[in-house]
This record gives sequence, structure tokens and C-alpha cells, in this order.
Amino acid sequence: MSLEETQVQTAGTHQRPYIQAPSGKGRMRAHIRKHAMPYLLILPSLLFLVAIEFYPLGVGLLEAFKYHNRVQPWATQYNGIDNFVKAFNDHTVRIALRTSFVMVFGIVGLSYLLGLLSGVLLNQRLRLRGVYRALILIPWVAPPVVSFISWQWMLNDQSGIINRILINLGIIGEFDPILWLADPTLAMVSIIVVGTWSRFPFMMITVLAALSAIPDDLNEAAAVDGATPFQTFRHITFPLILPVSVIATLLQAIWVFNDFGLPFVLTGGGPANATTPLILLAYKEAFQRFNIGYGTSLAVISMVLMLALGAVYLRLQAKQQGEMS
Amino acid sequence: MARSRKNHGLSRRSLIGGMAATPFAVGGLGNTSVWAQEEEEPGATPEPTLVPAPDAVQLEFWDMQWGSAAFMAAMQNLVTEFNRQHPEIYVNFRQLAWGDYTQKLLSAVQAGTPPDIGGGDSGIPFNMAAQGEALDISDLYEEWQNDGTFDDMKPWAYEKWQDFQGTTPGITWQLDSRGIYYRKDLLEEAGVSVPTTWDEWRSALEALHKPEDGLYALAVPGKQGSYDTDQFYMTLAFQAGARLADEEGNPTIDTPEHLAALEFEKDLVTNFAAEGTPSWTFTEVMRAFEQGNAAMAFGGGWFIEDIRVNAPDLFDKVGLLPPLEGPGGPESQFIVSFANPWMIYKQTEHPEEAKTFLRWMMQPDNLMQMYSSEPGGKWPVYNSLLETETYQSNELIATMAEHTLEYGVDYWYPNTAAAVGIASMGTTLTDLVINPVITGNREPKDALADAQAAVEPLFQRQDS
Repeated sequence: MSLEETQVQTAGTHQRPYIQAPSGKGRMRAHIRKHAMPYLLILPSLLFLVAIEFYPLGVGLLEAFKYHNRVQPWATQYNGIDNFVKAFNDHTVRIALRTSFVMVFGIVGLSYLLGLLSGVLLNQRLRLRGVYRALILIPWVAPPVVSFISWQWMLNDQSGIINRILINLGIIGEFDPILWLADPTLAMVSIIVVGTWSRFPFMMITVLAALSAIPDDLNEAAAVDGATPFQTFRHITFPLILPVSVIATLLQAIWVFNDFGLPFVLTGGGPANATTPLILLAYKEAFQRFNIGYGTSLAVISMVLMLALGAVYLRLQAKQQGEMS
Repeated sequence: MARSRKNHGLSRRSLIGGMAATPFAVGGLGNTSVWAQEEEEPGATPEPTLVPAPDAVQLEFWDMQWGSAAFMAAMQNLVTEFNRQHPEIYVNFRQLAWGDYTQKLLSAVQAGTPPDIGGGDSGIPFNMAAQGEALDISDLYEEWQNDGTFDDMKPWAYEKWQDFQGTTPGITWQLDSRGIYYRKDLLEEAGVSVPTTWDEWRSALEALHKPEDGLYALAVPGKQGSYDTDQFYMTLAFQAGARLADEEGNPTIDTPEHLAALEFEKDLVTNFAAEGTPSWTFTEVMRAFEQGNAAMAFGGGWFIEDIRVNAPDLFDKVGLLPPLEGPGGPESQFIVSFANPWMIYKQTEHPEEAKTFLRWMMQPDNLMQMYSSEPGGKWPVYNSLLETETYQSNELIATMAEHTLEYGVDYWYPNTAAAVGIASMGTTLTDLVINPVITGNREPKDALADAQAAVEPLFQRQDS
């Protein structure tokens, strides 16, 4: 039914024409007719997403509510929320969660500070600025596993280059190595240092992008008004890059929380489970002990926590876009 | 747990080459052998494979990256030779990396596309059989029994797989042994004779330990998450008379025998090993030994060739301790020697052809082609091969081969009642027991209780 057709003149008192709203069915049909092409165009992507994202996710979610060990197929059955109850009562899981958060706060905090510092420095008019920027990107573009294995060599207590340098400088004794990877506290420090090294370039790029969007005249005006460089940074630059920083930090937090490779390669989760985050524990349950159900439930806990962070991220992004528009 | 693997270490010479090669190693995470290939080894390139005949039955054979390029080339050549001799069958060999082979095999089984014949860790046929995915090869066993093959074979190599839940899911094609290497010259200097018991060993370590001179008496792996770590512990556990399960298939980790082994390991690591041991794998162990920083080292057969190549000055000064007598007495004088299998997957559409292939591969002469491609890399399942040039080429190899056949057992010994549970332990012993204890974060008794509780569900059986 076209709009013209719906235009009905009522008899008697109502002289002015009005438009009768189409019925629900008609509205839907009109909408589909108008928007069919866009839906058709996104259909392959949707199907693809369903196949590789939502279907496995659905299967995974179901697994989390099962006792399912690959080598005990006869024992597979839905067990309600038993896996989650077990997880929340499991001391190892609590330690792993704590480890995950320590990694997140340590790596994200330090990589932001370092990224901010290097971003601000490389935003200055320096000679060979482009070269420095490219060099700083190396940790980020290098394949993570390669980097982590190299770090593992460097941090080796007996023959690692870091202890060698410290010995040569006379800082530590020849036979008194620092146990970078064998002491629980130092192992966590090593994880945070290596994680920071590999992730701060992303922060630097983000900060640089935000800095380049700040008009020069703002800084010039501040300078004319007598603001020191620190005051300019604190009251003008930093507030302007803060929204982008928050989003980048949240993204990093999600990535670090899910970072399996770093602890797996560098420490294997040890010593004494000191560097086993939740995601590594989930892997060990699922793929080393074949405990697919329980391992999946740990992964689901991780996913829920990350979804919460993701929701914050999306909200902030929407707010930021609102402010920009 | 119980993953027997070729664990090449990093030699000094390979370090630089390895750094250059690291980008290529990403896909093989967990498989350090990539770096140990210092240069193109002789025989490292396999011969060209054949093209399958149009009507040939095609089989997929998947196995692990067991050794150097030369070893893997020998494996491929053997498959090619089979294809040449059997034009009606064409076997396609695919190497799996250690990093993700479990996931690959499980996914393939799930997707209905497993290989026809496969290898893997020393427990994989049990896991596959438990999922109903292993073909029963008891008819082949009967043949081998009747034709005398088993008379020449180390009994544990076939007994391990016999009659597991009513089927025979695999056959051992190679043994992968661990032992304790020692420096003869240092022992002589200290005026100590070669130890044969735990007490003598401890005394010898006491005499050898000179950390102030940069010499640790003992180098052993202790890293969390590493399969290397539990191998030293299990050597001690066997010698203490401990087993992982009883005859009914119940886990027996929390026992006085295990406690004796664990307390002894803690004592050894605390008093005679480098402080960094809780982060060491075989790579660090071998490096410490080859650099002269350790008087004794626990390691695999591949240490022999690595020492010969990277520390030639040491080679003649190195010996192999005999299997030690611990609290378990002479009847528990074992070394860890993984019985690594081949199996046929139940989903194969060509079981007879797959058996033909397995039968042919298991012939001593054919296996010998692989064994001889990397002397010391793998140990034979057949006693008669001990006399071959490969296993008599030097004293270390001859000794390790002899120890393997006489004293070698793996984690499933002596029965398979708990086979699936043992094969599913992953790095539980390392993560919950050994590493926390040697770092001083957990008392031995408590750690064993933790592990016992953790593995009990894995040991549940359908009939229990």
C-alpha cells in the first residue's frame, strides 16, 4: 500500500487529509523492500560470523556446563553449574585470577607510562624522529613467541646476557646469579617487564596519534599566557589525550588478560604457579588434562570478565564519539 | 605428563644460527629441535617422494618431529621405500609439531579425518582407545608372537599395549631413555668411585659440589609446565619403589615411596644443584654440563651426540651412571625410558593396508634405518640391534642402549589398569608437586596430597 493510497478523506467533519499509518505487516514489507540490498550484502559476513564465532561460542558455553573429559567419554554429562562452583572453590583458580590481574595492572600501567613518555618525546621536533619511531615499534611488530623465547634466553640465570652484563659490571658475583625466572617474585617482575616491553609501542602510537590531533595554537596560547611546559602538559595536553588513553588502556587490559603466550613461553606458569594466569590454567585443564568441560568453564569466566571490560570500552567509545559529534 | 620427546638443546654453536632462524620457529613452538640444526646435516634432505599410482589405496601417516632433520628425512625415506615396494598402497607422511599435536589429533578425530596410522607421545594410543578411536591390532600381535618377533623385542615394548580394555591399541617402535651423565675426570679427582646406590650417589655429589668454583654437582630440569621436570622425579620415584597407580588402576601418588623420592629430589636440588633449577629445562641442563659447570647431569640420549659435537673435549671424560639402587631395592632399579608407539586409527577405511604398512615399518632392518640416522637419538626395541655398529659406536651409546633394554620402563609400568589416567596427567606432577617443592613453596607431603586429589577424577574408569 502506497502512502497515496492511504490518504483518505473522511466525510463530514474532517476536511483535512491525513495519512493513515500502514499496518505492521505492510511496514515490515516496505522496510524489507527498501533495505533488502544492504541485508543481502552483509549476509555472507553474518553467516561467516555465525559459523566461526557464534557457533563455536555456543558450543563452548554448553561445554562449560558439562563434565567432559576427552578420555572419559562415557562420563560426559551436563552437570549444571558444578564446574563454576568448583572453579570458585579452587584455590589454584583464585591464585590464577590474582596473577591475571597483577599482570594486567603491571603491564598495562607500565606500558602506558612508557608509551606516554615516549609518545610525548617523539612528538617533539627531533632529528631522525621517524627512525626513532620505527625502532620503538620493533617490539610490537616482532612475532611475540620469538620475542619471548629471546627474553627467556636473556633472562637465563646461568648464561643469560643480562646476568652476564651484571657480573661483568661487578654488580653481582660470578656465582651469585639473579634468578630472574626461578624466583616467584622475580619471575612475575620478568613477566611484567617483558610484557611492558612488547606492549608499550602500541601505547606510544596511540598517544602520538592523540597528540597530533591537538592544535598547535592551544599550546602556543598557553605559552603566551606564561604556562610552563609541565603546566601545559598537565592542564591542556593530558586532558585532551585522556579519552584516547582510557580506551587504549582498556583494550590493552583485555589483551593482557588473555595473553597466553607470554607466561607459557617465558616461565611455563612457574615457579610454584606464581605466573600462571587464568587463561594458562584453562589451557592446561583442557589440553593437557583433557578436561574440556572444566577448562572451558575457566575460559568462560575469563570471557565474562573481559565482556565487562569490553562493555566499559564500548560505552566510553560511544561517549567519546558523542562528544566529537 | 609422560610426553617423551626429542628435546634438542641449544648449543653454543647453534645459538647464533638459532637466533637467525627464530622467525621460522614460531610454528613449532615447543619444538626446540628447530634450532639445533646447526647446518645442513648429511642425509637431512629426504629423497624425492613417489607419485601414487592411480588405483593405489592412499593412507595418511602422521607422526611427531622425533629428531633432527636427518632423522626425519630417514623416516620419510622409509615411507618412500614402502611406497616403492607396495605400489598398491601409497602412504603420505605428515610431520606434526610437538606444540599442538594433541589439539590437531583431537580435532581430526572429532572431525572424522584422523590419519590412518599415527604416532605421538607414549600414552596416545590409550587416550585414543578410551575414545573408541584406536583399531585393535591384536591380530598383528598374534603374528609377531608366532613369527618370533616378540622373542627379540623388549617385553615392555609390547606388554604395555596388550589387552587394554579388551583391545591392543599400539606397538612400540622406539624407546626414548633418560640417564645421569657424569664427568669421569671430576669423580677421579675427588677420589670417588662410580655410585651405584642413592647413598653412594649423595656422597659423590657432596664431594663434587663446589659452587664457589662455579661447579654444581648436579644439573636437573625443574621448570614448571615442562615435561622435562617430571622425568627426573619419576626416575627417583621408580627407584624408590613408587608407581603412579596400583593394579586396580587407582592413583598412588600420595604414598611413602613417592614421599621418599620427592624428599630426596628436594635434598639434591637444594644442596647440589644451581639455584636457578626451578626454571631449567633440558636445554639449560645440557648447557651447564657442556660448559663444565655441572659434574653430573640428568638428560636424554640426545645429550651424547650434542656433547660430542659441542663439547668434544669433554666427550671422552663423560660416563653414564648405572641405574641406581634406591629404597625400592634391586627390583626397582629402573631408568625412565618411554615406549613410543604407532597405532592405527579406527576410522581408517583401509585397516588391512594400514596393518601392512605397520608390519613393514616394524621390521628390524627398517627401524634400523631410522635409528642409525641419529645415533643415540632413539633406542631400539629389538635386542638383536644392540650388536649393530650404531649401538656400539661409542661407550656412552652402548651403555645407554644396554640400560634401556635392561632397565627401561615408563610411567605406565607395570600394568595398564590406569593407562588413561596416567596419560591424562599432563604436567600435573611438575606443576603441583615438583616445582612447588623444589622452590620451597610447598611441603612434599602436602604437594603429593594436592596431586593425588587433582588426578583422582582423571583415573575414574567406566567400570569403577
